[in-house]
Amino acid sequence: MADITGASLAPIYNRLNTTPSYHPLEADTFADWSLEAGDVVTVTRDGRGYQSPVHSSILRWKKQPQMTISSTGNEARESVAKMSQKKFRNGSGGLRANNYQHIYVDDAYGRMRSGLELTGSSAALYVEDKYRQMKSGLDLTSSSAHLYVDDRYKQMRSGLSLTSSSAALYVEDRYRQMKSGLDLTSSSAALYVDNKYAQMRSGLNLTSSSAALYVDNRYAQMRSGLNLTSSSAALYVDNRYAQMRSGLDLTSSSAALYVDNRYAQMRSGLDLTSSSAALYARSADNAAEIVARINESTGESEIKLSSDRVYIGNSRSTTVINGKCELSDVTANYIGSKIASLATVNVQQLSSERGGVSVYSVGTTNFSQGGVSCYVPNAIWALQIVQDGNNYKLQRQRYNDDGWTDVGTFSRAVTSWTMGWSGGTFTAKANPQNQSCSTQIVQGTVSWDGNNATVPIDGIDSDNPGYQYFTGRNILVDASGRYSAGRLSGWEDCYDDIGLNYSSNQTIDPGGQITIYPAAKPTPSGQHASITTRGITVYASSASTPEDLSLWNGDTRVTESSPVDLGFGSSVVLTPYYKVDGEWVAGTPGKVTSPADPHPTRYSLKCTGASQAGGVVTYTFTTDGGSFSTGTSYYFYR
Amino acid sequence: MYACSQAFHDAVANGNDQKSLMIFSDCVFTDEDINVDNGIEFHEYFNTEEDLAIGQALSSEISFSLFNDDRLLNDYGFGEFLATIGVLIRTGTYQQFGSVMIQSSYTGASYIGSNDMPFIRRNGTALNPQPSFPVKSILIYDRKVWCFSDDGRYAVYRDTDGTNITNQNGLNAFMRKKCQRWNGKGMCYNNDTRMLVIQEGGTRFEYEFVPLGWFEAERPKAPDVIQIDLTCYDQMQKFDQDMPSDDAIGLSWPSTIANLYVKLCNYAHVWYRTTSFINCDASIPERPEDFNTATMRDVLKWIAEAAGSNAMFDRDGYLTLRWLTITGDRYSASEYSEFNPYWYETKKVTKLYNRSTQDVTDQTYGSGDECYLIQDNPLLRGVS
Repeated sequence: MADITGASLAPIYNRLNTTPSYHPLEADTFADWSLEAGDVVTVTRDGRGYQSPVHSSILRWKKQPQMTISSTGNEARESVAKMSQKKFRNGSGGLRANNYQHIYVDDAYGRMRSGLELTGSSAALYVEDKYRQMKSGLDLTSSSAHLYVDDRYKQMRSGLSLTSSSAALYVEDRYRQMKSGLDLTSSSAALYVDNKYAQMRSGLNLTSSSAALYVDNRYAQMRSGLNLTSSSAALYVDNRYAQMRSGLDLTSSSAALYVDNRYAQMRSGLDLTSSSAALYARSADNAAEIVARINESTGESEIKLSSDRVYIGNSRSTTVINGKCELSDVTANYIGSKIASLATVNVQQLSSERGGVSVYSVGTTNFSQGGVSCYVPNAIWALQIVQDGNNYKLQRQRYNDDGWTDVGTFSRAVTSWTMGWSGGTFTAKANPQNQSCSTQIVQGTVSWDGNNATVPIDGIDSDNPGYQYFTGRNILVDASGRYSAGRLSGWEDCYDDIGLNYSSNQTIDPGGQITIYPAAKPTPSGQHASITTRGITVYASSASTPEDLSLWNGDTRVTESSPVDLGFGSSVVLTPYYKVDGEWVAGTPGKVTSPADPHPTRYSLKCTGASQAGGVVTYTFTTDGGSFSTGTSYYFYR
Repeated sequence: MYACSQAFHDAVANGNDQKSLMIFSDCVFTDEDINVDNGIEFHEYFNTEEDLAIGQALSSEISFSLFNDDRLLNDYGFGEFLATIGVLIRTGTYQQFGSVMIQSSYTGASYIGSNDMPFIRRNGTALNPQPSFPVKSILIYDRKVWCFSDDGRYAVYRDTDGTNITNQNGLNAFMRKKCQRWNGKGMCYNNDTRMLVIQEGGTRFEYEFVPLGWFEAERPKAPDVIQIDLTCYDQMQKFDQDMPSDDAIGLSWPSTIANLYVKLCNYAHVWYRTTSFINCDASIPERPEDFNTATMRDVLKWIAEAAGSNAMFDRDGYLTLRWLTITGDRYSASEYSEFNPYWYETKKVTKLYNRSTQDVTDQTYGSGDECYLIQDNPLLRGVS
């Protein structure tokens, strides 16, 4: 190739020649990161200033900076010897030592910087002296290759791969730092980080069968990415100030992690999946903690257990669980029985709805029967509305209460009414007396439309989450002061009474109807929903007194033994008959009171329909004049 | 030394609060995402030779760890990013209107976000179209105004005139969660002045940033870990490819060294700061044979050597051919924790050799004993 034209060595020489002499140095400074490599700075000591270029800088920033600046240079430049220079700048700069060849970099401040490949069976690299630094790309692949970094201030910075069967890396002395990419894959590879201030920072992978990592001494820090997958791999973090911060994965059958001593801290990402894996958080002063995460909204430390079963136990006679504990697993029965076996339990809130841990109250809860039965002091198990002069009161009854307690009063004059708690919406939970029964919840909001005060009641079957067994049942109080439902109580499958209790007379005009909202779930099919009348008083034009009074379904007298079959959504017309001289007579008997001393007469309506939700039974009384008044109590039996 | 204010130096010296930002094209990692216990380690090199040397093309390096507890980064692609660290230089107060407010340091326009319609106003006027959500936080960056909801939705407007750029439903999963933590914050990061202003609850914080450079983060091969460790290099790695053919790179001969330099940069898709340098007008008669076995980085080194310089990327991501700069900075005993000066001085160069091992010829300049050797640089072949 023809020579370059227009180029000159003079400006290059002038630039180098005008660069002043300098003291090579290394300094850990508090410089800020506006300092750049290539800047020339002055460091003073004992009144003397050392001006030096920054050949390289290392900024270590942990919310505050620390910067190490360094420059290199020889005391004197050797005279240029053509052969020696050509030898070390040949081709791409690679220096190879084949079998039984050795490369020695022996002299003070000698450094080996790149591209050394030792492939011979006994090739070795020795970097032995003070301030030596090996910076990149050392690959020991021969069977007996060794790397020894022995002295103070030695630093090995990247890319060391030991793949031979007997390869070993020894980093032994103070201030040694191994910073990245150590891969011990041979069967007997071992890494020893033994002394004070030795730091291993990333990417250690022990996959051989006997690989082991020992971090033994004070100030040793292992920061990330330790993976022990061999069958006998073990990690021991034994001493004071040892900190294990992340990414420990123990997957082998016998893998174990022991964090034993004071100040040892395990902060995240522990995964114990092997059959015998165990986590022990122990310390001499019993202050060991396991904190899974910090709640971002509250700042509180939390531990979340999401497995199918959680076992909490110890060998002590007393265990105390303090603070807010939420058990949301539906299989909390098991937890309940476990909690009940403890001597003292302080539970603030357990949200599960099932046996024993179905607690919605705040306060101390005592579990007395293995978590199946519990005493719920604040649970409301029944509600009723009663008239109070021109106003109405909502009353509650709680388990073990002797009577009713007022929880609020409302007037027809107001358009809405706020209950005594929960801002207009009331929610009451009830537990059955019978231990086999389920929990029920009734809830609703009282409203007044100018004519009627309505308390819609939703009954939720906690055994079947999402299923409401008496949706939309209203406690209705109309403008004339009548209310169509008073007391609500009763428990599914308990044969307790539920439904409507007319506690005052109700007048039904001729052709009028009484509408009853039965339970939406009157199953199992074949069980009776029945109506019991207590004293029917029929006002008619005649003053004669019949011998008896009854209701007839067509030609059949309705008795308890011959109930009316009535499916949901259908209706039946029952005709009142009166008995005169032993004969039943339809029509209007005149004013009749029967019986004179009212006694219960039970009429049954048999529900034959399949389980339905929201069905309405219409019970129609037909009269041919006058009024038809009842003092009637209706009970639904289920 | 990167140009910054005296307030910056004073604030760092005073130990004021500092923030780091790793700004990707569609994501930003802050101190809450970076394992600050591990810290950020940044290596910057001008010269790694044993002696003072020219003709190097060195790459900066940055290492840090990202938390991935929620595994939201498992599918993130990473890529090119700006690493920068700032320090709190000033605090003040402001009167809060709406749910969040911030003033653009680009245009001076004031933005107020609200929980009720209009959800976003610019200088008191509702922007059109309005976001479909209450604006909980605002970020102004690169002359764009990002309005965030608290559930991952966002709308973007031009800061210059308030026109709508996009109404989107989807940030990536990581940013969707992150912007929820910004509720109530108005932020403006001006990449011209490198100032970050944060307004929250009546208090205004001003941070001045000095960048560490632009880097390329490769997606980890196994990202499903609770902490992702990243070691990233700057754009010098784009020169680590074989020197392309003349046609591919668009070279014809003869060519000046400056033209070769520009073609290299264009081919590598990098910006360059230096446009004039020593020997830039020298003419290369034909494609040197050495190019056929060289990498682009080798050629860049030869250019740098012919320019009496070293090549490196500056903190703003521009390729520079630079030489030493005396800053006047002095560090006394209270400003360093350890200081190990060599006992001798490295003397200045008094003689320059230019050698080719092909024809075993030397050209020299100067007459002293402190020799500096330039060897086998095809761009200086035969030059005296």
